[in-house]
Amino acid sequence: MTTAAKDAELLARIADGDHEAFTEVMKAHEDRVFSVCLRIMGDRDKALDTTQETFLTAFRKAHQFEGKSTFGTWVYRIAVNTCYDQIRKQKRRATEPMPDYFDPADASAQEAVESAGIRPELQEALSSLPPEFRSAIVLSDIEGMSLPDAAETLGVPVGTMKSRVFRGRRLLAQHLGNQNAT
Amino acid sequence: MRKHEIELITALAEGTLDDETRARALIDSSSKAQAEYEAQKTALAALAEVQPAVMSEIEKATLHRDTWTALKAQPVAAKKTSPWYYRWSYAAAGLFVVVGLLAFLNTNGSSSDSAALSEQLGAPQTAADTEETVVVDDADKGAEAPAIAEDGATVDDAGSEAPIIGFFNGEASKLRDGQFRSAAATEGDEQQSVLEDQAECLIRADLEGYEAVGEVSFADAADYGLDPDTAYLLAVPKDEQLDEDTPVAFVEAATCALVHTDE
Repeated sequence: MTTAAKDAELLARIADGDHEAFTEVMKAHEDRVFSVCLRIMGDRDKALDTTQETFLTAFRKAHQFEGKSTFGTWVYRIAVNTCYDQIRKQKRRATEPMPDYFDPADASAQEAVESAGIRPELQEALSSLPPEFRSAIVLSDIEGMSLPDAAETLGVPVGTMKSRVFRGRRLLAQHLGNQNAT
Repeated sequence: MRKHEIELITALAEGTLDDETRARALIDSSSKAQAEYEAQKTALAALAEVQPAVMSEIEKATLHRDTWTALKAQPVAAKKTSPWYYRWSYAAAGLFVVVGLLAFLNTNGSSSDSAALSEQLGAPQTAADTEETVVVDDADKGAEAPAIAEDGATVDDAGSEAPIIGFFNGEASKLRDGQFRSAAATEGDEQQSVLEDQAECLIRADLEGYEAVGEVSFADAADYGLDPDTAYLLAVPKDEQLDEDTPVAFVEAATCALVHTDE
């Protein structure tokens, strides 16, 4: 059985209420979905919420999955789009407080920084990028996806993906340079 | 900077070139190329430090529990399948009606009328053959989800996105026909300046050389599980006379993502 066919079968079993199939799909993809969401959202709690939202959307839209691409590609794309959606909603709201780990006086902040696996200034620089550049950098440079896979995940041509990665890195470097200068 | 120069600088920064001679010559010959190379190196070095993000076992357990609970509360829509003969039943019914009518008309000696009638009947029959009901179960989750094509295609490739594509095509036609009434036209200079501010957004959407001429929202978006608040910029090539061949691009205003081009 091909991977796509197996994925489709698992989704059908989930639709029938099979908890074992649900756990299998979650375990196979949750770490990477969470990682993508964390790097795009820049906040652990939001990343966890977005991860849950991603899987719920995927399972509820399972009837649209016909196995032409891998479930992984499909679910990562849902993850990126769910993150975009959350970012857009955030923009509509009033300014939000900075995540706790930006507060050095907070005892739990240091723990959060360590568990985040990324320097706060780098996360800040990443968060300053426009969403489409941020997701390109996250998939390509942090998650290590190949350009064609990342392009398929984002639903853009490979040329566009290359351009976004190049320009995203340039903006990131500028932001980091500005931070160092100040 | 040209495309091949960008690729050369990127490959040099990533260290994937077998022969670096050309790339080195490029960055030695141009300060701009040198600056681009340095920026790529800086970003890559910073990103290389990033550790893999992992969830704790407690977080995973919570995620599983909450996701499963939510799914149980609102069950997954099962893939709609029907027996094979259902698919053919429409065709058979259509064929039966056509044959019956043709036989009736032939009996009355009106062959030209029957040909015309069979032509007319062709359209509904085809529609019945191909029409497919899709179960949409969620009005609450994932405004982006309907934009997700299973094969990773863009919004305009997804068959399920026909309503919004129809909306885009309609707006593009209005624009070309000069009937378009954008917010810019109705709200004066202030809104116009907002549209001018969208130049950077269009660049991010890889639409250099385009200008935003209006902003629209899909009023019926909610009916298709889309976010009705999503605004789309209409962009056309700068300094170009609008005619039926003018490409009209639709860019999501919040994310600056190109979602559709009507050509």
